[in-house]
Amino acid sequence: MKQAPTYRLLFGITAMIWLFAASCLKRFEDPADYTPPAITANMTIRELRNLHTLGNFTQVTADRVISGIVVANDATGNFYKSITIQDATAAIQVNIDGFDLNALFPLGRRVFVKVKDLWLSDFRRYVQLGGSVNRTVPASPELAPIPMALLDKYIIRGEAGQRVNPLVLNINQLSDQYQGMLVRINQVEFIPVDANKLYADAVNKVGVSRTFGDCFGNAMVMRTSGYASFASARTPAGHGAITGIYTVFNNTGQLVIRDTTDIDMRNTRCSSGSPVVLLNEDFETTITGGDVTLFGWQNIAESGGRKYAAKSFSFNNYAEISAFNSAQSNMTSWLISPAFDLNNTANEVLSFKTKDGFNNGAVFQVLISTNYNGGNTPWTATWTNLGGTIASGSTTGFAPNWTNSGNISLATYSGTNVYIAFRYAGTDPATGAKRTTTFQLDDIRIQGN
Amino acid sequence: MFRIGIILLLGWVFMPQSLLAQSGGAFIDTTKHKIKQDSAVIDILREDQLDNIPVITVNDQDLNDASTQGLAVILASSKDPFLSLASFHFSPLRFRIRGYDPSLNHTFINGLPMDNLNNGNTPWGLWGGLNDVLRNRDQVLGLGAFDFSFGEPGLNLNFDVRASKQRQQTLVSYANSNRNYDHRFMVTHHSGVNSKGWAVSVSASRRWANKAYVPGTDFDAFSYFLSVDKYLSKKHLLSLTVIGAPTMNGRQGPALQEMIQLSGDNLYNPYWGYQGGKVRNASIAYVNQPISILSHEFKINDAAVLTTGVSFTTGERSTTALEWNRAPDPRPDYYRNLPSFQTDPAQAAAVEQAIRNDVNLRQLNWDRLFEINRMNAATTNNVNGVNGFNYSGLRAKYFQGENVQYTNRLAFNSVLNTRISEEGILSVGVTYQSQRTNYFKRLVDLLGANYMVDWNQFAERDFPNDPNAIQNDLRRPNRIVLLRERYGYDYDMLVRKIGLWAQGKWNMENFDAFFAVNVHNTQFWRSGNVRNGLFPFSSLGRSTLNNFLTYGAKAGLTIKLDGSNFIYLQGAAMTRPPDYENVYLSPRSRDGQQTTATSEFIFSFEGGYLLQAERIKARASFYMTSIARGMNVVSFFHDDYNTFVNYALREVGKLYLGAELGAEMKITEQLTASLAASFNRATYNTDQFVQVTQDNDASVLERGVVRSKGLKIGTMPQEAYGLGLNYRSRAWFAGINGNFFRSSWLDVNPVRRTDAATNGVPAGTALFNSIIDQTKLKDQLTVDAIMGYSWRVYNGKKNKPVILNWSMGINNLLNNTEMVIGGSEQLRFDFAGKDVNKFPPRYFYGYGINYFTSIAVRF
Repeated sequence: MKQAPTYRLLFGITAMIWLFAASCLKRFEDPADYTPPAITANMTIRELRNLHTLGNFTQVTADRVISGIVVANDATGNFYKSITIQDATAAIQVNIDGFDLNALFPLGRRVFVKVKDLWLSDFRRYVQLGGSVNRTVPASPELAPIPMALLDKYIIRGEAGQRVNPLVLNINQLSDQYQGMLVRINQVEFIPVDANKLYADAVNKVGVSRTFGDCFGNAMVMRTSGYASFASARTPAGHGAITGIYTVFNNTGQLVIRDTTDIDMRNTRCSSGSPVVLLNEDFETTITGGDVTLFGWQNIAESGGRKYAAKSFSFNNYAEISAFNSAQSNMTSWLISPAFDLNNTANEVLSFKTKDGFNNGAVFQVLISTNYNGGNTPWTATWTNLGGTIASGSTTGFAPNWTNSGNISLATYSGTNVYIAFRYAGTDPATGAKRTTTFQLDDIRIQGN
Repeated sequence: MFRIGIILLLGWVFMPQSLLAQSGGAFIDTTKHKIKQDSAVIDILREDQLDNIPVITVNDQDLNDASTQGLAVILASSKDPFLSLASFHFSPLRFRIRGYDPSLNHTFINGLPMDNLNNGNTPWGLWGGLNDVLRNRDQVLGLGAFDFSFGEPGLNLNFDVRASKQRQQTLVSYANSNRNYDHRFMVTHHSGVNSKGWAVSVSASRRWANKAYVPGTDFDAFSYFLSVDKYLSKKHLLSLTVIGAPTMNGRQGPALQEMIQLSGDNLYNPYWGYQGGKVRNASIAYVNQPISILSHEFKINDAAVLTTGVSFTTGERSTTALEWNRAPDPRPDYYRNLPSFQTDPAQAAAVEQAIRNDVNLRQLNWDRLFEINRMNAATTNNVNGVNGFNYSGLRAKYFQGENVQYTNRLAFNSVLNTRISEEGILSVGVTYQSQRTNYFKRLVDLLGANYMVDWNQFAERDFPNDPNAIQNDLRRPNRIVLLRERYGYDYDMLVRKIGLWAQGKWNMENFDAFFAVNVHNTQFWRSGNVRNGLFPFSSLGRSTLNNFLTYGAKAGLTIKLDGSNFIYLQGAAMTRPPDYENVYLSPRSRDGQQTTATSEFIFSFEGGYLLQAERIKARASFYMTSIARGMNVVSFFHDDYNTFVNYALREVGKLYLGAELGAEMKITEQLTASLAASFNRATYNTDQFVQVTQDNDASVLERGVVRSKGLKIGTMPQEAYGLGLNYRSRAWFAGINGNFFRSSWLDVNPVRRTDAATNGVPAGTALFNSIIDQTKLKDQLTVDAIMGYSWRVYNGKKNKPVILNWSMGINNLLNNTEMVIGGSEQLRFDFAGKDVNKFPPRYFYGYGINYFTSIAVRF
């Protein structure tokens, strides 16, 4: 037929077009691994540092290359817009104007710096290397960091995964020559007033100094920035080693850690001297009007759906629990402390205060557990009733004064993840006996020595 | 979907030959639009060039076919003298007819509405590359009577792609260009209706460019079309059509003026960079949403026709995007890495020199992203919701995700057209549209790493101690994400719309009149598929149902002064439901919506004079359209609150006021002069109300007023003037056209016009003005030329000749590279320093000189 060849031809053309059909997702080949260029150092960091006189801004004129391994970066926010590199002779902080520099400069990466035209300066005697000097306020010039766009001009990245062993030194041995270097100090502990305390003020983003010392009275400061990701963690209360970068602030030497794994203090403390506070909760930071919400504390309704509430009276905040008006046949609620470590201290005691109101027999207990997992089902763990003096007797109205529990000894308990729980059990059935006592709780304290 | 097309194609090839015998006479219908062979060529060339226009997108969330945002495409063979010049020659400047938003245009195929129900725009790309089957069109610009639905105030188009309505023809063509794509092969065959009542149309094309005009962009598309018609009897015509156009293209991003200067290229594209020496674009758009349409035409009697159709569209459209987590910002135009950020002039000069000399600083440095990922050995604990299950490997700091929209769209339309008297035609119709779009992210490239974790990294920063807040999916916390898996957000948006309309048209000796009414009910709601950690109780499941009852009426009168002179006047008042994109504040994480969702109210009237004489065709019109009570939601990073915010705007009012003039004059038999002028004032005519909510906790941060009254709608030329001269002989044609554009204003950032932005700055000072003033763009001039030649080869065996056409169009002969055709002020604003140059506007520039040429064989 006359038509057939045309159609077949058209089909052929169409099929050919389809053969060129669009591919689906574009695929690219992964590029080759990064290979550092062949470059060697011809200046030591010690020589570089010696070019600088404290209090000045020194521009480096020598056309040299230094090389170091990254010992600190901004990964945890404790250092800001900088990396610290160390070679066999010394270390120096290099200021770079960027965020998340740790992605390019992880700990252990070798780095080469072409120092010509960079600037040396010091902040409160701590020497740093930067890109330029900011003289917009002539009375107070500042070292400006190296812009990211100029990274490749000054900094050559080398192999990753290099080891730097920290220098093991005593507190008395540390001095200016160790500025920027990774050091480890053994056999130290945080002084009692700085043990089990927050590393820094994360709420207001303020840096905090915590003092640690050896058993001979030598002390030194650990400085943590309010921007550190671990600022809300607590310093250990035990004894052991601390690793960090040695920095100075005017005439004070201080250690700045990279993250909490830089501290390993799990041994018993030097002496049974002044008390160490392991837990101290007065509820003053709670927001009244709702449930008690405290960082690290668990407020769990096992049954009955009610949790401990944050209340205030006479400028004092406290926690309160009650089955009154709950219409629940079974109301059980838990307020559980954060985990604390009993192994570094001795003679620990627990004390707290309670008040009761309209007491008709609801149960209020203080319990301890070493196998609770911190989760949502505390009743599945093993708890031991600690006893203590609990407020009672106010059957009509509230107790006028707080009842102190007395010192409840925890000396016989041990473990690194120990929890205290306050458990309330009440009942408010439609018919039958009601146990709807209101209990108030405040000033929970555990201390040892 | 390829397979369906190929199966249908194969089916056609092997269909019994008897069905495809020589076309008979009984069932041939005259096409709606008789295209004269010769004049068609210029128009076809224009259409082809329009098909090859660049795809630009205005923001990263915009997954629509921006190829025609603001354009009236495929109108080259329009009978309207204004449209036929304007639609083609004004399109390089992104001229919008009457300044209207694209959602005021409405497109139908075979009588079925094709609009995308999330924002009312027409997804032109879904039938890209199929120009040869889209020649039958009905169009109504403005408020006139439209036979397929009530219509919108803008451009209403219906394409009749049924095989039985196509002129019997076979076409094979190849085109070459240097714009959006470089090559196009196209094959089309229309069988016409045969004696048994069958008609088949097939078309397939392939378009591609390895390197398109804009650096870093490429294009790859395959289009297919099949329509099979059967006259079940003289009265019943059944038609089945399948259309598909899977397309992939690398996109262009809007550029900062500073990067344009540093790179020396107005077409600077921040989205691409080198990977292992090859160009790789981080933002690649994929669309594959084939459409199938079943339509039925029932000629009840000589006076009445009932047309019914149902269409189904399904498929994905997506755009890839580079994401990063705890790693340096990889964008080459990140403001902190630019010379303008340096305060020390010596450092600024050093940074500028570094960027000018190193392409890896000007564009994305893919190799460095791999380097960083390969060093990030990590362990993530308690993954996939299992306590104690720890996962180790290279955790991605950089990765490529894909924002996907998977859409199922159903449309149904039934229209009865009856001649009720000698002069009157009554049309009544019912429409139903329903759409479900699943929005989600998919991991497409780990860039050298092994895994990624499904966490909300902004919540990680804002709520560092809350393990629940950072989860994107609380039911599978700490989920390890591997290639091709979903992550991030996952929700559905559902829309249902049902409507009734009626229209009466009267054609009398001295005047024409029409009147139309409609009523619609629209519902939409969100259905979340994951429980988000920031909003555990308002993310998973159905949101409230939003319901809108809208209605409208329009009427018009045309006075026929004599056979060639007409005066017309038309008016309309209608309400329209808001788009769900403008109602939901942050659908990726929660179902929160604007406090009140209101329908828009549109009032429009237009009028003018038409001349249709033998040697001159002209139209002069004026129009006024007011759109009140519109809504909008934009999201951005707020430097004052230091967090992402949602800006919910309402009482957005727009006023379009203007006049159009179009004329075509036959100077001699071969020489035609054409003229088009559009004078438009498109402004925001209200002060808008804004409520600012914090994105990560839905708290209301502020309420205020945006002083938007009087701001011009951007970014488009509000005035355009074109003058052309065309020569046409039997074999040759040539034409030249000059166009002048003015009154173009840069699209505004509402934040800058609030009291919060000008707080503390005294009114009238230079600083105050720098914050609230709107940027006016420069006037532009372009010159275009076309030419072509037509051979007729007579095949002795047939009566029909084989026609060979060569045509060529060169646009922007003056190589004007300074045309700003898109862009806007950045939403981010420096509240502390009130410096508008800290986050300067981003621009799209138009192409310099470019061409399109094609060779086509018709027989």
